[in-house]
Amino acid sequence: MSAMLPDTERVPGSGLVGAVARLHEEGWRLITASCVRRVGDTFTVLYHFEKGEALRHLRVELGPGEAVPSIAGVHASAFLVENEMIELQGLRVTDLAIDYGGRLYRDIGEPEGAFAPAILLEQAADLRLDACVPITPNGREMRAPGSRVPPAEGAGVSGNGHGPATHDGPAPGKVGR
Amino acid sequence: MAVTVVPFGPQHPVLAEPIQLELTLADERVVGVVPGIGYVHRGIEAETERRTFAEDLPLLERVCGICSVAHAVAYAQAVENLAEVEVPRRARLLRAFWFELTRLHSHLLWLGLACDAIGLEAQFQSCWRIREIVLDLFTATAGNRVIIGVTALGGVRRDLPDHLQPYVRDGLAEVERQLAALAPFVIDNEAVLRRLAGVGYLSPEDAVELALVGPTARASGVRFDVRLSAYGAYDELPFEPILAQGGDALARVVVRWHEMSQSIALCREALDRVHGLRGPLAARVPTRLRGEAVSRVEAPRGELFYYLLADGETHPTRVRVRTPTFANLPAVMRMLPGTDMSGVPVALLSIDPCLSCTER
Repeated sequence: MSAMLPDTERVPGSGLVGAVARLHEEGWRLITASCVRRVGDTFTVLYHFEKGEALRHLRVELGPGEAVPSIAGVHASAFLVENEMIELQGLRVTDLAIDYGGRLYRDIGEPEGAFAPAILLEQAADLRLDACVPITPNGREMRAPGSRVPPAEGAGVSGNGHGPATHDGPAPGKVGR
Repeated sequence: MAVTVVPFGPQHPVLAEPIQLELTLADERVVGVVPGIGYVHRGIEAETERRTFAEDLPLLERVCGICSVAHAVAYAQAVENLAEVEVPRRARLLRAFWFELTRLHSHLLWLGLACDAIGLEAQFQSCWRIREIVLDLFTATAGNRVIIGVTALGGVRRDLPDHLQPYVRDGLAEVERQLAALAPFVIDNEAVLRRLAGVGYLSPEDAVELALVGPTARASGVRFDVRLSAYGAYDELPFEPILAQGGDALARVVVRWHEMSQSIALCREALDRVHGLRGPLAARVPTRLRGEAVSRVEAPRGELFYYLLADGETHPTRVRVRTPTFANLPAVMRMLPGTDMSGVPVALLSIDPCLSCTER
């Protein structure tokens, strides 16, 4: 039976971006990355590449607490799988191009995932929109303070972060509908 | 100029499944996009680690209802690669037959939705009526309409007897005839051309840089199709990828339209080779496996990738699924800026997003 994948190159985390850039220059297309979380919070991260009909893989072994750098600077499309590995496997990735803050697969109001990094609801609220939000020259203009974050307790509060389910009008503080 | 951030979705009339695009608009023009998913995540990858290799097959078939055959074949191939098992030729041909039928019904489903999105309700109904013929062929050959469960580890679990071939060939001919009758109202329709031309443009450089797959990449002129790697029975079936150069929503329609005819031809080729062919339907696969393997197939939306890790147990240690839409989703960040808000639904739909696949 097979052991490890053929055409696999082991690289240290610090050399990952350089190795990915070299493959990119040689015309290898990033397929995706696969993350395996092991007992003891060690990780194996495999980056899969394709050229023609050939496949190649980069393997990074990480110890507890170690992080892997983002490769989105080389392959722009990597931001999704990197956020997924953070959220579903608990991998640490530095220098993310787009940081979903542990909310790629979780909407506002959902409990924190087992591996999701700590994030304030106020920060999470900024990641998902439920209404038009005008932008000011200084950045996004938030609606009334706390309006995007449902109260932690109380009847009639929807679980999706869209505020109380009421027929008496828009949720308190909502604007722009 | 007013700059506004608008949430597109997760519920929208053109979306069959939930996704949110955080659109930054300058007046009516899109200047920035961030895709947001997470509304139908089911944790299927994690669930596979609690089941045996054989039990994972029906689970993974249900990642997506539309391309369930693609998931089943991709997973089975990964297991077979790990076990170093050779799939019998008859089984490989039958897999290709059902696989191409899947592509046909998937493209018809998408084309119907696309017609509906641009206001062509009659064409939507026509597409789905033609798709019913394909589903009847699934029923006749596999016993189910959509999730047909024909794939087994090491081969297939159902045969396609020779006496069924005339019925299947008649069905394929009827699909072909009805598609030809529909062509003037879809592919040669001036309203369709005007509505789709130039919408959601992706240059060949964009498609390569973003590692796009499937008809989305081929519509930008990128000759990329996993079937070129000759997996399964595609080493003996005549095949050349359908390409278009337009890079817009219209080009994606054209590619999928011609791929339907190609799938019918590939089904016939597979039937020709299966006719009179005798032999086993499946090889034996060990229940305990060790090692790593990957597998790729060309699903209706593009390259479907599986990574499988086993540590000598009866269940996998890790199953990683990278679906075509997961690869194509970053395309919205490149093709939507510069588009008017009114073009966003059509542009998004043109990559045929499947969120159940994407989120697993």
